[in-house]
Amino acid sequence: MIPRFSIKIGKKQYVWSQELTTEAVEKRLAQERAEKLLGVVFLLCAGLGIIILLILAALTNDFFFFESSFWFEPNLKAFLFLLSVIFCLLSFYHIAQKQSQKEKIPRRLIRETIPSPVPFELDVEQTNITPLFSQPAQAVVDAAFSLTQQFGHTDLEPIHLFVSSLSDENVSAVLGRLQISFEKIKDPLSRRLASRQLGTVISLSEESEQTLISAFANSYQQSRNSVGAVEIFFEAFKRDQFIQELFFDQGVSNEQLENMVEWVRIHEKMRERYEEYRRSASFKPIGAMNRAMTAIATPTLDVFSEDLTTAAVQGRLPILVDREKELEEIFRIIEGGRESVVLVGPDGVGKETILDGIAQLMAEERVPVVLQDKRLVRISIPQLISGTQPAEAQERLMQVLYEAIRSGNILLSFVDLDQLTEDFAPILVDFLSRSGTFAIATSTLEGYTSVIERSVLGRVFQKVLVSEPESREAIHVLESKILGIEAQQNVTFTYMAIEKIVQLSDRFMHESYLPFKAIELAKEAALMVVKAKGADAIVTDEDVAKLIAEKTGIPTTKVEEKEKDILLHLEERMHDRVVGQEEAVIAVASALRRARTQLSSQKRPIATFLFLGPTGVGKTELAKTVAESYFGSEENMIRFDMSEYQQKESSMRLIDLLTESVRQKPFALILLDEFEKAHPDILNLFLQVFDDGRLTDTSSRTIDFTNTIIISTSNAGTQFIQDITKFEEELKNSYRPELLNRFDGVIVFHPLTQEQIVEITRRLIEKVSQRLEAKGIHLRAEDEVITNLAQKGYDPEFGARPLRRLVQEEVDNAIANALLEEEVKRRDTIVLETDGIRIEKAAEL
Amino acid sequence: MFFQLFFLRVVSLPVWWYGKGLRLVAQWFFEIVKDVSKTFALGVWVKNLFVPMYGDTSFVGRAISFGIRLVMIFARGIGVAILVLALFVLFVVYLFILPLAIVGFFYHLL
Repeated sequence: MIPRFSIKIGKKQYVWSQELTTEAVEKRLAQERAEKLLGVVFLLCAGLGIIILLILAALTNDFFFFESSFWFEPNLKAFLFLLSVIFCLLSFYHIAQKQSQKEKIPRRLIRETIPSPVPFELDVEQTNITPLFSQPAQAVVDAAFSLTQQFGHTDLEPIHLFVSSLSDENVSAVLGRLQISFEKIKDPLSRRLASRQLGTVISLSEESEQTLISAFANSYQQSRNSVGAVEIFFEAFKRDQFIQELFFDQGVSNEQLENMVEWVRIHEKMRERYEEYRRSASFKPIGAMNRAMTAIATPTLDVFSEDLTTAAVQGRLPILVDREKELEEIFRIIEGGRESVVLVGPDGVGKETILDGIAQLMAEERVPVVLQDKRLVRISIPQLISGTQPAEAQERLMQVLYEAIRSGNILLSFVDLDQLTEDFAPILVDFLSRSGTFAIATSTLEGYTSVIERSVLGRVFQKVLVSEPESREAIHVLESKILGIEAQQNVTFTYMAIEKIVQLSDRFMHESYLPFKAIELAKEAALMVVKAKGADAIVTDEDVAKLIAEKTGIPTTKVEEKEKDILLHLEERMHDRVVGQEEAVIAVASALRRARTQLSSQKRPIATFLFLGPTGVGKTELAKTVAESYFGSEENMIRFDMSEYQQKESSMRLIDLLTESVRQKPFALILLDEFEKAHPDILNLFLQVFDDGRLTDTSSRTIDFTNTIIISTSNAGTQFIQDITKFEEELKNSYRPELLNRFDGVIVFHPLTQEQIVEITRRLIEKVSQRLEAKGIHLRAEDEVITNLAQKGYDPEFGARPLRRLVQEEVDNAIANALLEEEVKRRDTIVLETDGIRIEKAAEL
Repeated sequence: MFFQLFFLRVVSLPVWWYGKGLRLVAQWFFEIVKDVSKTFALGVWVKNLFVPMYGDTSFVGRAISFGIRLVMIFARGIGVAILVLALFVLFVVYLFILPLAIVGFFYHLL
């Protein structure tokens, strides 16, 4: 077959040139069968002859092997023996020949980009990739061919390859973790197959050829030894729009499938790597003593350090995933001027894992020449400088450095370089600049800016930023760890669970960084599921959401039927507590629905409102209702009286209080009472909070506000509430327009009407009645009495606030007296009247 | 197909045996010798014959080191030598087994 496409690596082009016709495939299969059979026949013949001779010898008790007549006089036994020997030799020939034919995918250098299919060129040396396909991958191609044949199609298309790949073990693992059953996709796939063009001569379509060589390119990029069935599955998926749509209907996007395939690859790679390391480990010396036992070697260094390359050879280091960019930068700096490197990034993003990754590359010698034939040694700074006087510690450091120079093949690495105090930094710097060698270190961001950058260390260490991985990369890292967690807890994670862990931890856990927090969360989820469902359970995304909900108090699970009902009727529920204020209730309820269905922006607080209105109309009550309905309880409300912050100097105090309370309760409603009374500079602080959802405290910790609802209340300008232009003017005087614009809603609360006051009074009385019911006493109030109370208690200036006091004075006091004087007993009814209370005695039992 | 292949293998056996096969076996033996001498680390011991062990640079230390190293080199040398000898014998067997087997086969047949 003349190839149409190729993958170019170096000067070679890799092509698919295996003939795919009925005859060719049958011939190849027959050849394979014949070879297998031949191998068995050779071995059998060889073994049979020798066994017969041995049995003969044993039966006749005649050890003819040692008699000269056996060898030098023509006889049947010797003939049989020599025939067996010849079959032995043939068998050896057969096996050795097959072994030497096996080829491997060329090793990829770290900085090479992924090759993609290009048109085939006649004049370039070509290599057929077919022998590089693993047994299962070859089986997929064969199955695809017979599928095409079976349906009588004219082209072998990606869909054929796809369908055939489904029976592969690894592909079923992919589908299993994605929770897609074959039953669900069976019918659409057969409909699709039925719609293909019919014909008698089968040929490989262009897309299929591209699929096959891309599968090879994929394996090459992943540094795999051979092309697997998963690669074919994935490449066929990418080339067929229909299959993509089909998976999308099952709730699996292209990205999710890619991440899942990556998972299988990571596991395969880990297995391959483990096998390779087992082999090479037998040669590397382990422990402090080197092979020559010259052993001035590095006794001090050995005490304070760990040999990472040895650990890598033993396969004890975690696999490094998706950090090629950083590795490239490190190698570039080292190669460029043999300069030292410091990896700078927050805790938990995997700086030390990058060190481990370098050690692994060194063990495989897949590193630039300056790093080849060296060992990477990690020095523990705390161990080096603790438990002794500074002078002695300095001596230790010098000894360690001296030994490193003498050994000549040591590359030093320091974890948390910023822990190296100023007593030690100059020694290290001097050593590095004089010896012509270099080191790799790690440091946190704060440590770098506060210590390294300002000291002499900054001069010799080049900074390489290690940022928190994006969620895609974090998912890959978690995938590489999950096997260990699964084995430990005896559970299985679905892909969606992995994705959810990364998404939710990224969104709701801001104290630590990816991938560390995701790994910790996965461990916790596994433990939780094992306890709840027992061993062999499956961890799903809902389990993860439940765990997050338990940890944070935020509902993150899928919106269930019951809750759906609550969300859709949020207004009515709010009206149970707040009387009137239609506009405000609707605005708040819609904002909460947006937040719960995760439609709102995730970089800002869940919602920010300015509640405007006179005193006692229900602003605070509505805020409490929100805290209860979104954060589960009124307790999750942090309240600040902004009139306490009228001086500019008080801003620091506010920042510290605010950040500390949000740090302790990241999921809470923040109520800023009398917002306009705070100093204008303090108000400006909130510009940042409203916009970015972050605030930095005095110890330069950044606190996250994205899981809070911020409600500011104010009664600025409310005396003009009837006159809209005047009101707006007054509002502008109190707040700068940029601040006003940053609120999700400026909600005006209207003064209460007469009917609303009466309603509030009725509810207050109802509350008293509920308290009395607990004692078995009934309370009744005529409408007339309630209206009367409402009129008496309402004050245009303070709204409904005096009502509560009035109810206390007039109703509660009277009842309390009656209770104390024992005028009222169980089952009695208290009747409220305009001039006090009357007691209706219940009938005697 | 089976008999075709069978015939091909039988006929091409001598050619392969002294061509590609010989190269393959030589390569294997060479690899084994390399791996084993790496395990015995003879070269490292020879190279460090005069280097004191455990960093003990005193005269007595050097003397003991030298002695121990000589013994070690001798012992390890014997190990490597035995192995090389064994491999050599195997190699000689490889060289002669095919003609001997074929000649013997026909001798006893007739």
